[in-house]
Amino acid sequence: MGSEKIVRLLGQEYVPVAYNGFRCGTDPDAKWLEVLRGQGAYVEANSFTVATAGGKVLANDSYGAHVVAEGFEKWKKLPEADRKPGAIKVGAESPKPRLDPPAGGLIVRAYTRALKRDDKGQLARITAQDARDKSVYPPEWDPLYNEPMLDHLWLTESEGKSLVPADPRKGQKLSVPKPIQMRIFRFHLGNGTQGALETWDLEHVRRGELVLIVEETTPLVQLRLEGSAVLSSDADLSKAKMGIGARLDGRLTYDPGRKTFTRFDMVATGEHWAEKMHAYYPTPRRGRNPLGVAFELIRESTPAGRVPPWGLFNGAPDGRRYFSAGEQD
Amino acid sequence: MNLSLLAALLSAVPAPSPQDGDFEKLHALIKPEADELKFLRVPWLTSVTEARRKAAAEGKPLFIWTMAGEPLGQC
Repeated sequence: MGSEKIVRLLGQEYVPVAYNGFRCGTDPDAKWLEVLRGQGAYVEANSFTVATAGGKVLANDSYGAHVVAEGFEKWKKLPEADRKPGAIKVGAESPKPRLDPPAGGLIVRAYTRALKRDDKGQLARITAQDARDKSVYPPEWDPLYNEPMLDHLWLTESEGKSLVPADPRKGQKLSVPKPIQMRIFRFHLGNGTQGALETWDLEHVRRGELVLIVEETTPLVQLRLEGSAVLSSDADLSKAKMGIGARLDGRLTYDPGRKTFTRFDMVATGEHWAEKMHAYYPTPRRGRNPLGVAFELIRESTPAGRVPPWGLFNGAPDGRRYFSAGEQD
Repeated sequence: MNLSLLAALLSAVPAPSPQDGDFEKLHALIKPEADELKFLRVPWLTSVTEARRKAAAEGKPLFIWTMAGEPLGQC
């Protein structure tokens, strides 16, 4: 879906929906998809389907971008009576989201990008040219891996409040509460740029600290965040098959009048290594390579902005593992 | 914790380079460029039922992107 033409077509001529295939069972959406499956459509993981609101399949493939144009051509050929607004009535109740952001909490978007060091030793983006170096990049390296991967970090309302001192003073330092530190380390310092994000167990956190420093107090409270973390599959880093050593830096702004954060920007940069991240995912780059994670506060209340963190899908459905990341699973 | 393990842990966190100290530049470097993650510009819904309702009301076809995980998040 990388072409401008496809993006335009999807935005203007379709009602596009992105469906998490892990939602199944009694979910009303999943039940309706059975109607499409009954017509021979592959609607399991990793598929594109064009259908009418009434359930007629027009085009379907496992990740074939041709579906977008092909499906629209078939749609245009349907009788006018089947296509006009209001022709189909949809009375079904919308399913409740399985996981909603915490009320009054913070939603922070996290972008993870595989990086490189350029000739001057500075962090830089990977190019198509770089991926030709087979001493570092595996043969199956896809240009998509050069782009950032998306995720979200959720903080509850009380967690957000815990980041601001009750009576802030310039130069004041406070430690970021442990559950928040551990959530960031365990669920957001991993390399998912080639597929599913690796997450860490509590025992994999070898070292980690995150502090906030008050830089300004009026009219807005400006906070700087500093820290570092080391996570590895083995306590002996020379033996660890997977690991990351990262430095964290952030800029937060809190508006005491509106009692809300207006900025939550953070970066984590460091070296990551992995012999193999998942059995069914491509081989990662060889050796230790730079990885960067950029966090930013998002405010738009769109479906895309409310997608749950990956870490919430790994573990108890109530999100206990994610929100209590400082405790043993 | 023995000293060699501590030394290894301390050295595992890379020292900041001058560029690394420029927070805004680093932040922008990692975030997507204008021509990346184009699919985020599409106005996605996440409920098939809501999408059906909208498609029926507006006289448009549905485009359903299914993934083993969250298409608009990590996966």
